[in-house]
Amino acid sequence: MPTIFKALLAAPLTAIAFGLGALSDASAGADTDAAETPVSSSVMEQGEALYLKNCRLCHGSKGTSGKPLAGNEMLEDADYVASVILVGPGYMASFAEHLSDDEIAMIVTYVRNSWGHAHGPMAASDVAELR
Amino acid sequence: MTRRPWLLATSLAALTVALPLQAGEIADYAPITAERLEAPEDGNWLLTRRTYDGHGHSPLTEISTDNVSGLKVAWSLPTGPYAELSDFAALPARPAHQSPALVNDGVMFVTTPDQQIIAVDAATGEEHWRFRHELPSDIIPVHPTNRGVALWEDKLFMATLDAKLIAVSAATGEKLWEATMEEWQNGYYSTLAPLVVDGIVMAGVSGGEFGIRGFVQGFDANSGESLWKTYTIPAPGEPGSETWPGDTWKTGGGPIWITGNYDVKNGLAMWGVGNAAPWIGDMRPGDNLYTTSTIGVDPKTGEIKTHFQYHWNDSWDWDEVVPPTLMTLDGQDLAVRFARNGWIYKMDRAGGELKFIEGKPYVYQNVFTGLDENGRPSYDPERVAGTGKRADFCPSAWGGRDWPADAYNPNTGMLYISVNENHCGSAEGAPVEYEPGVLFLGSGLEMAPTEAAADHIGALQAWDIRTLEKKWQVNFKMPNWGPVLSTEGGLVFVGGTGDAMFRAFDAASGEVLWEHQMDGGIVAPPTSFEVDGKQYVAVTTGWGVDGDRFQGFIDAGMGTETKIPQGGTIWVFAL
Repeated sequence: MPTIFKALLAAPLTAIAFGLGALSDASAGADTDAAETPVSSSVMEQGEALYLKNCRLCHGSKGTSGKPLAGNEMLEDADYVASVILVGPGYMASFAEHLSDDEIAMIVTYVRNSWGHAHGPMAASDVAELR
Repeated sequence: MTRRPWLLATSLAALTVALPLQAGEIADYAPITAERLEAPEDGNWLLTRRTYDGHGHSPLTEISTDNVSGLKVAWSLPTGPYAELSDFAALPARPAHQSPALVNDGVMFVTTPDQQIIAVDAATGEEHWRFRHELPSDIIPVHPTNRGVALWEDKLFMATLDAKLIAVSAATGEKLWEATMEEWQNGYYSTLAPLVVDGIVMAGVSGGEFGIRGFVQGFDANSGESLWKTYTIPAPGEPGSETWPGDTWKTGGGPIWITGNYDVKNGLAMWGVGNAAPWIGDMRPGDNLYTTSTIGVDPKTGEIKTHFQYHWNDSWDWDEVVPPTLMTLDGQDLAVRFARNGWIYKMDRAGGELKFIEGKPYVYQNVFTGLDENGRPSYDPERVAGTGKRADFCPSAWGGRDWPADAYNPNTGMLYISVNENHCGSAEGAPVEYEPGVLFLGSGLEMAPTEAAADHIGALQAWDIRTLEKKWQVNFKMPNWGPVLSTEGGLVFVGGTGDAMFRAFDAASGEVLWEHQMDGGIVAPPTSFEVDGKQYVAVTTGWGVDGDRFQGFIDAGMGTETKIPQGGTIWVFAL
């Protein structure tokens, strides 16, 4: 089991689901190295469509509902974000069986580079390693 | 993208079949009248709680404490195959069967989370017909369930996950009319069974977590015409509007998602109103009427004639949606309610006005510092979360009891209720922006079992309503999500535990007299009925939604992994 999964399962999942901790100013949390990696507009467009279909109900079209994603410093860690999508802690649905590695990578890339975030892309191969 | 089979099986046949699914017209269906609903025959179960006062009590005595050990399966019927609820396959919860089996002169009606109505011969289990309401493919049901139908004359009524009210022929399953209560895209949906009084069909809406403005609506049973719509949150200028600052009333929640009881003597439908939105109270300073209240509504006009608020300015997501159980004891007309907030409220309802008599906690609760002479609580400020202010509180958002119904024996004055204790919650508010159809919470949802949870979480309690004293309590290590059935045979039937057992208790002592291993956990209300002089007990398995989520939080807190079989079968027992 990947370490990130172990950490997720050991943590209080209840706090992860809709918890509101770890909020900070997005610009303060930008990952400078990752931000230098270009993010393709095609991936962002596909990621946005997938986000609106699968994530909007809880997180809102601007990432401000449910557990807010906009300004959430946990988005700096791509593996963490992908793991949450795979596991579905607390009230959140697990998407592991429903989204491909490509699709999860595009959603992670979209949320990590929207609403003032600039954390760079995530590769599908990195999602695959987390499964 | 791969798809997970929905419930136990997904059948293409179920996805493509025309409605009704199976033809089998019921001959000589006995029409439902106002008289029959007010005084149902002993062998029938015509309302969700059998009687308008919400007792959930059968007067039948063939099955008793003396012979219940000989109870055996008479028949069973899987409710599948199921339709997929949505194109969105990653449902946030497993669908749950929460429908009671209504029985009218040997004809049984059960609904399913995929929006079926199944009509069955109550003595043999032979299907008469199935009807299924097709949902929009892009809907995402966050509480995939249905809590049953209402009966009137030759019709059945079902409220749906896309906020529609549907009338179906009881004899054939043919759809007669459909009315839209609200647009589901804005977060409105329905899970409750409607309530019919004198040809007026009433239903309410869920969606308190989406910033809806809740309401109960009355329809003409024959035409489907809307007669009135009463919002649970008053508009500016209406009584109670002073309890909502600014525009907060527009998105203030106040869902109605459990069937009301009807006070026949005073002509009032008693509806429970859920939480305010967002969850944290300092985002909407004020009492926030009529959230977390019971409202007494005139079925003819929709007018709110009386109300009682259990706690003001809720910050704990303690929906108070279960209506009070109505009884007359020693000549006094009472309304008694075990609130989700962990306290019991005993109220006088003489003259159609709810007046507080007394209250006390029935599980550990550390938020209230007391109730005043009107039943209004005072709070420990340390237990009230705010924007940027974290607070811990007990019980958690799921409360001392959630939606599962209690049962009351009018001949003994005893009330039986499934509770969960030894779990506490935490919350901290953060600003939230309203977006139609999107979660509007303003806080996290956190829960953890306490150290005492190692002993038990679930319990079945028996209370003497005359004295408001607890007579016995049976503990379960696992949570208890079982609606309760009381019978004149001196028995209390309840499932509700994750071991998927269905049990009969001695109503006098709490001793387990019979238990049966089921194919899935039970969160549906058991019912009892009679056909050709023989008594039966019916219950449907189908574990999911809040019971499942709650177990997930318990497992996370305890480091355990609990697998609860889902089931999805109507079971009928007899001697």
